Amino acid sequence: MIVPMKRLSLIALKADEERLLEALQRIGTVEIIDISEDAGGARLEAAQNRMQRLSDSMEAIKPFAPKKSFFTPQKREVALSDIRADVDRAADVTDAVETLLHEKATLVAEREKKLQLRTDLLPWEPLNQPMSSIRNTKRVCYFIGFCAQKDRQKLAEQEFLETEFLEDSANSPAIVACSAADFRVAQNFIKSIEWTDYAFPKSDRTPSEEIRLLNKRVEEIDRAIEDIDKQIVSHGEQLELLENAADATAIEMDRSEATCGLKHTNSAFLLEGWVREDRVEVTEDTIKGVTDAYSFEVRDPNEDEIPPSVVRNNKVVAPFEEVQTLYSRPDPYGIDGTPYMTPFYILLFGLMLSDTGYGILLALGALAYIKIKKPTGMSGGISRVLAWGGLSTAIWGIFVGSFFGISRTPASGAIFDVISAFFDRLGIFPVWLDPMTDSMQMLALCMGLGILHMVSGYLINAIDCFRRGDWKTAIFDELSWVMIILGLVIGFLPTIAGMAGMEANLPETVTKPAVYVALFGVLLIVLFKGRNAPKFFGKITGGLGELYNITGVLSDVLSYARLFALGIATGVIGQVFNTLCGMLMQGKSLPMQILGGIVSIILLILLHTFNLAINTLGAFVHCARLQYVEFYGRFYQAGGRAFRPLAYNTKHIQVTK
Amino acid sequence: MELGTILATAGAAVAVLFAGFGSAIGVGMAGQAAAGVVSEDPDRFGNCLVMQLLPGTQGIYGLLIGIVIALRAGLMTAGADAITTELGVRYLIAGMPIAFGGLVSAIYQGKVACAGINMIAKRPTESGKGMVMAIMVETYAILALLISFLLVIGIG
Repeated sequence: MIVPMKRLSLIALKADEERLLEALQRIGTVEIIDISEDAGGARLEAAQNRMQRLSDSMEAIKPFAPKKSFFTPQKREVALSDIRADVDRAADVTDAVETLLHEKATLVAEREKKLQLRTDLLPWEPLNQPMSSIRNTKRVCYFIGFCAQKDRQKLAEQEFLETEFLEDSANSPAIVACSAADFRVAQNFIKSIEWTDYAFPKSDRTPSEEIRLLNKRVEEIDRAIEDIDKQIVSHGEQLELLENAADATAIEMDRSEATCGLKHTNSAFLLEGWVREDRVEVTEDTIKGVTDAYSFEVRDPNEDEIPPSVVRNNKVVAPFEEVQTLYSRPDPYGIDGTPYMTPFYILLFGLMLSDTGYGILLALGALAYIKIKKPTGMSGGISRVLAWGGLSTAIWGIFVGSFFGISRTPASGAIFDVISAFFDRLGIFPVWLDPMTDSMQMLALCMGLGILHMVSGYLINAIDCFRRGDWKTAIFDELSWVMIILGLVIGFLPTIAGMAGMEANLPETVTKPAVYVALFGVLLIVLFKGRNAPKFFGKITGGLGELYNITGVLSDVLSYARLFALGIATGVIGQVFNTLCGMLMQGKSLPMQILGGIVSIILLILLHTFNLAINTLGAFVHCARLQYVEFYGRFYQAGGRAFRPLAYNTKHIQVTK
Repeated sequence: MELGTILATAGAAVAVLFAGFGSAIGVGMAGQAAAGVVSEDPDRFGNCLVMQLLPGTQGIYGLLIGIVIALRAGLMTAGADAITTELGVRYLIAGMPIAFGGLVSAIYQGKVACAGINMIAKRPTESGKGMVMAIMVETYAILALLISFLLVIGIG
């Protein structure tokens, strides 16, 4: 159900502000509305800054952190005081890691530079004199650069130039010397050919010496980087410390942000917020525990204030809120669909997988995951949904007779037929029907459940309309459809059953009135659906238009055929895997049979896990779709926003109370 | 070999082949998009993988129909009775819905999955919605699977 929200105004002394906010954050019941004009503050900025530095360091050392075993819970439980103490120690680590990262970045940049320099120098390696010796003097001028192949000859032929080519390539490195008097002429000539200037680095060494030196330096840098990497790796085990500090910082950041949302005077502050109606008392008690100088007022929200949407359900239903949240939160004044959706979700999910073996495996797997990893939030909800789904799958598996793809009819050979024979001797497996042989009945069952599902949706909305006193909508828009759907189904049941190859004899005293009920529903829609249209013409077309929706209803019913198809997909593919392994087990000789048996066991585990995984994904999403489109489409008002109270929103740890 | 047996074999092959084509294209496209998102944010791998998997089911449906045809027509046991031409044609036609329904729906589901993966990159909390959108496309593959299955079973 949807929990009503109250608007809270709290006035208290500025001196108590920090302690009050800490207490409120601990119980996590109040969402603070930002009513102040000033954005941010020094403290918030400091916390954000610290958070940024912590995340950078964490990212750097994360790959080197000790691997967590599978059996550690998602979030470790730590007391708040402990992680606060970790903040200072973590600051030392971030300083150290940051220094290392900075040093590394400098070295990497230097390495790049040296490598570039070396690449540039390589063509000049044959030059056997110090680079500084080639510089313009009073009498001689030099041109250093690369000459294109096609102009090489031209350059060499110039008599007033002395040219030395160091290498013969597409762009030959060349040193050209001329007398100072010819400098202008030489310069003009060089401009006329394809020539790229080059400048030697300032050095008294020959290029080859310089290259050797550069190589040595690069090696040194590599060693230094290696050293730094080793130090970063050694920080790996401090990841947990940083995570604690990050969570402590996140908690502080949230509180600083809350402070920024308050309105302050010189000595007091005003807090505006949302609080759940059922938590008002706890909240006031908590405040009372901190100070007695306060004013605490709650009131119902005004029309222009949109409260956050919060739902509350019992332990069974609560996990399914996550399925609903995947779609959208309910409108704060609408209906919480979770309690209605839960039984259908469990029922339909099981029908889609419908295999006792898979069901048991899924349920046990989900329960083990919950027990070991203690997941919270979305993953916690979904693992519980899957546990329920697994249970339902196991039960449906008995109804339709499938156990890891093995049914009563022998199909896969070897050991599988022995199991089939055992099921056959039991005589009750399947309890109900075998989808492989009774396809039409199975299809009818799926669509029947679908009709039940959709009609429930109409009824939920109708009841809600009555509750709000809107009996016109309830009768003309909702119940009229229930009459049409149920009337048609009951009225034509014998015909439909005949088409599906079944017998369903209903006396005419039942079918005839049912058809009349359906016609009455049609009449209600035609006459009253357009009741709000201003003109007569609009009233009539409104009704006829609505009647056209019968195609939508029909396609929605057909949409439930997926239950059958997905059920088949699971069962038949499981059976195919068994058949393949059955072939392996029936080798010609005993050693082959033993070998085949061993391979089969490994294969069976892998293949069935794969089948279970992919079909669980399919069942989860397709079942969700049936809820969202076919069920919620009939009554659900989406569009609520999440309730974000000031609380411990931690990523890595669970704060112990 | 009887023409009927050849046609039934073709039916099984076509179902696996085309549905598999579609899934390979769909999963391939979604995989590229997923790799892009994961390169920016490795934590999104789980969500992206689920999205990438969604267009993969068509291939499995095709495989399913292929195997059901093979089993029903006795193609997997050597020396089975020859199938009449009429039955062979029926097997071939029965394989068509999932072959082409699977082919086209997997490609388009792949495109929706790509868009969904991009959505995960921008709004990680909305991954469920992206999943549901991709599932809408799969509906038609499931309908095709259903009809293919009923047709094969109906041949007896």
